[in-house]
Amino acid sequence: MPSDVVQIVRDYRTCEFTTLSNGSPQTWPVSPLLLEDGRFLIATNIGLPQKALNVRRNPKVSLLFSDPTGSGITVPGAILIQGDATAEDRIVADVSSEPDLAALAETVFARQPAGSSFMISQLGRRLFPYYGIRLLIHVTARRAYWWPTRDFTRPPRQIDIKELQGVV
Amino acid sequence: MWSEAAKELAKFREAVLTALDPAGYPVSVRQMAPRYDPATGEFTVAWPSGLSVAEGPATVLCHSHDEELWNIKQMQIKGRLERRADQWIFTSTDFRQPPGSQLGVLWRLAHDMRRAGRRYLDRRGLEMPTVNWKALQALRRSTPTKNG
Repeated sequence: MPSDVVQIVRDYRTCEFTTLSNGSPQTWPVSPLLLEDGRFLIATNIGLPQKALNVRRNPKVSLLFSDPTGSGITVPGAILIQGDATAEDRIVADVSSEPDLAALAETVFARQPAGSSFMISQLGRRLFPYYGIRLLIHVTARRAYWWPTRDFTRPPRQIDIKELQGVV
Repeated sequence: MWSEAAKELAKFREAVLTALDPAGYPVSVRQMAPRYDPATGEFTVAWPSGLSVAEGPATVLCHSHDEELWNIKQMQIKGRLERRADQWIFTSTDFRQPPGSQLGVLWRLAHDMRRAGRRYLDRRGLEMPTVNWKALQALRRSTPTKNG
């Protein structure tokens, strides 16, 4: 897999995550984490449960890494991942009990210092008391496509998803 | 009818269009400055060859943020992707006006999240768990940022 691909998946601040609700796509910007085994971890909180609820009804999802803002990548490309997701019914209120969730939280804190600091401040906790109660979504990639230059009018190149394993 | 959607869409340089492929998986591409018609709620989609897509439900998402994932702006139009005369056309079916201010966004989000969070616990017969805020704060303190 070209190093550009790994860099995009690792360094883009957000991707557009799509789940299905009654057969219609619902898309959110999220900040995912690529895990050692090649899956992606996405966390939401029980105040925004729709992504997880959708996944429990229909596991088909996609992730589009297409916004280079803040990544520092000078010649940005884009990656589309299609995959199957799982969302356990379990809630996680102690981030220290889930090493992958802790790693994702560190990633979000680094990427979004002002926003994430607010959410765990006294005022943030009062306004958003459910922010710290997490639902975990794991995405297993089935297909991946790469645009080297973000020219979406060009045909993408299909890439081998096995190459996502062991790159972090 | 779609003039408000057109106004909001014009605030963004790019839009993410998502539809479904023939196997039922979502598939997304970016559209650069889509030419959205405020009278019909439609625009012609530049869909790349080599990426399968099917007619059916679709959505357009625009979002932006600064380098530190703050000053977030977002809007969405629901619709359908249709094939007409060898072209792909996005046609709108629903648009919800986003709040006019960042404070409005925050207020609506706080209200909606409190209601949804309470409902999530109630429907499962769960008590409000004790959140380990100290662990989150410790992670925040130990995480290096661009500004230290």
